[in-house]
Amino acid sequence: MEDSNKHILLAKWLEGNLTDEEVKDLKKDIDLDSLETAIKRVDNYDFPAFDENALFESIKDKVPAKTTKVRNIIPLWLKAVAAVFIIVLASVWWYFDTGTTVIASNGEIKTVILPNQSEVLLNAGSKLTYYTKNWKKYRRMKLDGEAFFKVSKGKPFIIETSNGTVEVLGTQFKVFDRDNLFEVICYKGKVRVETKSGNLEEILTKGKGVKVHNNRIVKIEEKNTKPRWIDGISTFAKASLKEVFDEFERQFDVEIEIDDVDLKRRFSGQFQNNDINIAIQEICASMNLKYQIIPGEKKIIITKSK
Amino acid sequence: MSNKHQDICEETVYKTVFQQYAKNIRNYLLAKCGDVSLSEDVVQEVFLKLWQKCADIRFATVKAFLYRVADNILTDQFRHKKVVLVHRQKLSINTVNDQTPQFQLEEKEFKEKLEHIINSMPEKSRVVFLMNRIEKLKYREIAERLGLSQKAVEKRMGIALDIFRKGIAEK
Repeated sequence: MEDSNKHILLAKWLEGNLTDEEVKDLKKDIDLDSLETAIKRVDNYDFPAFDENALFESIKDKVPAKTTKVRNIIPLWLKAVAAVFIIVLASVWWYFDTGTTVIASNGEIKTVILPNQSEVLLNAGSKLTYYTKNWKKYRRMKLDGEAFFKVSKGKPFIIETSNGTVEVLGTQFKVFDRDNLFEVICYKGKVRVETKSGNLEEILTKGKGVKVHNNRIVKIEEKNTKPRWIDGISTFAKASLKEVFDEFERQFDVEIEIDDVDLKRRFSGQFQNNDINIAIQEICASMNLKYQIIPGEKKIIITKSK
Repeated sequence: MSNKHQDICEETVYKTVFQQYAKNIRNYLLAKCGDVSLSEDVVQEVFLKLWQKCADIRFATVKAFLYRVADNILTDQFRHKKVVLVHRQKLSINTVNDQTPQFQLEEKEFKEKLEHIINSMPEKSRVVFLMNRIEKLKYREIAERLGLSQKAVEKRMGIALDIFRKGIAEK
């Protein structure tokens, strides 16, 4: 009997949804009688008690007193929007809306749920500020760092970074903006990317990305369905050592001191974010470097080998 | 008064939402991570977040919001600690106390065995198994709470039952 079929039959049997014929058949392979006896004993068990009222009281304690809060008179509703749209950004207008800021410090990844349930995962050392003032007309935010977005269908969704602007509709994609490096990868749906300098204006579809560094543009093909840092792995494809060590500093919240090493050298590979020793060892081994962890100072010194 | 347009920012409505979902969410989290105080902390965070965003959440879709936030906060907590948490499900027994010492010993052994088996199940199957056997929910209800098809729930339950029967048969 095929495995997954057997599982569904077992489940149905327990709830009493099989015919006598089917039960007879199942009994040929599985001892249902002893299973039934054993399961009955499980029914005596419960989860530990839950004091609902106590928890509610402690929530009340933590909640700041509400003064008049702005209510949405018009209920929020989501509609599918046409795929092509034009952004008109009136820069002056933005200044009067201070927005909500979320920060992921070094060593942590943060999840942000935006109004109407779009989600943002912020990688270590990143900052997101979103503006709910006109959320019903356009969803707008600023990103400094790296984040993975899961956007629900609705009004235009716009992300501003120091290097460029990204605009989307119902998709999943990643934006990386640090120093002079700007990267956008689309994992699902469609994303429109525009650089501040104006030399790039592109629509990305699933599996396509673009990397902009010092005005040089590189096209990217991406096979993964989401960035690997979400699973705790930092990956690099022909990245400079500077990029690699910068990311290392953010993931482990340490300082890396470089001693006579060419940071423009290229590294392709990955490190896991759960063990600093293994991670630095692997990077240095593949790049022929030596490392020295300074105990008590959250610092690593990198030098050339031999 | 139509349910759909109730304002969650009003304390009576907010409290109703709490009474309706807090225990379910807590049990769901408990089924996932097995840690009582962590689960309760997360429930607290979830409802604080609900209060924060009360003006933006529609009453009709509040359940989906609560479950999603619960999942994310639990995952964040795990990540932040940078530790792989070992699932230690603690169950409490409902039976009457005046049993023979022999019976109590057997029951204690069974409980440990059961906890061990539950801890060894993959998370998705474990959650469904516990919701079905401990919370006494039908597959349809579980499917609704978790946003799955009934067939998906049955499959996970079947896997759990398979692991359970094999575990019970050992020793």
